This record gives sequence, C-alpha cells and structure tokens, in this order.
Amino acid sequence: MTTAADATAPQPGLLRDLITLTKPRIISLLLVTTVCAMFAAERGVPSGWLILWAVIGGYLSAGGANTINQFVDRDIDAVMGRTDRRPIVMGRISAGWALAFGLTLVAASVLVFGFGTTWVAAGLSLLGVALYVFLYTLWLKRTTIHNIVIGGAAGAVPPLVGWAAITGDISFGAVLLFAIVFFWTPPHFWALALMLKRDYSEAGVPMLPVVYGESATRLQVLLWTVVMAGVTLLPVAAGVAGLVYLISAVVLNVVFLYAAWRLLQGDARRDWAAVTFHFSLIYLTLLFIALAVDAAV
Amino acid sequence: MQAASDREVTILAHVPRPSVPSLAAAGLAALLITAGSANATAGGAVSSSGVRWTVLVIAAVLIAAGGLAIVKSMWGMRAPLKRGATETTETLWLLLPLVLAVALVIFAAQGIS
Repeated sequence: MTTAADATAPQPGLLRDLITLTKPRIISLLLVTTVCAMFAAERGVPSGWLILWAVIGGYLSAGGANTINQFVDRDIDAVMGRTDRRPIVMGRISAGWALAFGLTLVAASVLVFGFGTTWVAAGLSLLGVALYVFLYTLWLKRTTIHNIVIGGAAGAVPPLVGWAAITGDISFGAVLLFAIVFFWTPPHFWALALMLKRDYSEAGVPMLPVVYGESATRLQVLLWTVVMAGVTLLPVAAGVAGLVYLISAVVLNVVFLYAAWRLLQGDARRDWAAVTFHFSLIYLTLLFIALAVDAAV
Repeated sequence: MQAASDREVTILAHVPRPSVPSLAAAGLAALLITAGSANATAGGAVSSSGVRWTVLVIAAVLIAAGGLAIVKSMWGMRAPLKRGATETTETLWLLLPLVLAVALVIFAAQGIS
C-alpha cells in the first residue's frame, strides 16, 4: 500500500511520473495550434518572448487540466489497457497529491499568461481547463455519445488563447480557428475510439462505437469530416487567411476525406481507423502551420 | 525477359511504399512553396470578393450537406440515459455544433463586401 507520504518522497521515477501526468504528447499539438494562432493574429511573426510565455503557460494549463483529468478518471483508467499503467492507477503518486499538483499547474499558468501575455489569454486558458474538467470529464464523458463533440470545445480553446495573447481580445478570426479544432475533434476522436472500442466498453464509457457499433461510427467520421472541411474554408471567405492556407486546406481535406471514405468502405487489408487517426494529427498540425506561414509571408 | 520482369517485381516489392500521410506532407510542402510566393505577391489574405464568395458557397454546401446528413443519421441516437443526461440535452448536443457552423457561415458572409 502506498501512502501519500511515500508518494511525495523523492524517488527516481517521480519527475518522470509528474511529466507523465501532464500528458506531454497531447500537449504538443495544443501548443502548435496556440502558437500558429498567434501568427494569424499578428499577421506576421510575433515577439519571441510572447511565444515563449504562451508556450510555457499553455503547457502548464493543459498539463494541469490533464493531471486533474487523471485524478477524476482514476477509476476507469484502472480498467482500460491503454491507461492502467498511469502513475495514479499504479499508486506511485497519490490521488490527492496529483490533484494538488494539477491545481498548482493551473494557477501557475494563469499567472504566466497574465503577466507574460494578456489577462484575456489567462482567463481563456482557465476557461479551457474548466471546460475540460467540468464539462467533458465530470459531465459528458460518462453520460452521452456526444461527449467528445461538445467536450471538444475544451481542446479548441488554445487557438483562442494564442490569439488573445497577441491582441488582448477575441475577434471573428479567433472564433473560426476555435471552430476548426472543434469540428476536427469528432472524426479524430471517433477514429481513435474505433481502435479502442473494447477498452471504452470495459470502462463503461458511452463512446459512439460502444453504443452504436462500428458502422455507425464510420459513417459519422465521414460526415463530420465533410462539415470540418467546410469550416476550414471559412477563414479564407472571412478574409482571415490567404492562398497558402487555402491550397493547403484543400489538399489536406481531400486526403482526410479519402481516408474517412476508405474507413467507411471497410478494408480487411488495412486498418483505416488507425490511418485516419494518425493522419488527423498530421492534418491539424499542417493546417495550422500553413495558417502561420500564410500570415508570415 | 520474363526473368528481368520478375526481378523488377521482386525489387519493387522491397521498395517501401509511401504512406498517405507522407504523400500529403510532401505535396503540401511543394504547394506551400508555390503558394507562398503567390501569397506574397497578392499581399496576404485573399482580397477578391469573387474568390471569397466562391469559397464561402463551397464551405456552405459542405456544411449544409454534412450537417443535414448528421442530423438525419443521428436523430434519436443516444446512450441509455444516466444522471446528467435527458432527451433534451441529447438533442441539444446534436444540434448545437451544427447551429454554430451555420452561424459562422452567416457571419463570414456578412464580412464580404
């Protein structure tokens, strides 16, 4: 049995466990959307100091939210093969200590954003944490098949934060960047859920493939990709982005739609859920890089 | 002749096939370079209202077609109701994102002169 005192005592793996709690791999994509939104808001290259503070604040904010998420979800993490080796589940870090760590990270992020960038950015980062913890993790995740659609709003906040870090407010352009990530989330997450259907089923999480099966989920991946493709064109129509972004968006959307179409068709020789999921990560990264390049050239 | 052909097939079988993502990345890199110079010449955001209207109509068609198909296929779909979920919230969660998408199209249209 591990006590709180044991868990907080210095040990070789503690730093690694603390970093694991923050889910650094997930945060990297959030930071890409944050920084690229800063380029779009600046319509050029932002100050290096602003980028640095936004990256530090963004890591602390998302890391805090992810840590609190693991505190709340420790019961279902224990029964899912993908998550059953997380530090809280393994007892290497006590639940209470993890919660305190997460809250500290969030508080630190607010200060970093507030003093390093703008207080609007600080407030928005706090809003993102609240959406992730209260709306997604505590409310929707275990109650509805729309969990990752509405809960996706939390993951879509970083572009708003990046934009506000530059301008100190939220314009229509910022809302469009929020919408791109928001509508990207369902096809991205349902492709992942198709791969992890058994895990979610054992944990009792009502992900779409668990409740309505794989065929229904594959269809929704395609349909939400169609809507997402439309939303990604809106920055051009709104005059927020130019040709670099437009051409990139068209190419990336065609590939994403192709993957989603093949996923719907079904192919025993290739795992199109995995292809769609991995491409969705590349898609969002490249789309936002194209947005930043578009603004900078 | 046949042997040469067989050898060619054998060699080709060992050449790693490019994945969809890597092809997309390579294509995008080339496009970025081309479009970058065009963008610099044009001076940033697309200024032609004709182009912007065309892009908006394509976006609106995609959103409308996808949105209607989503509502049609997901209407009434829900997990067994637990605490925190009602028929009303389930309907709200389905419609809210699509209302947002339509609102974005309308706002974008208002910005084009």
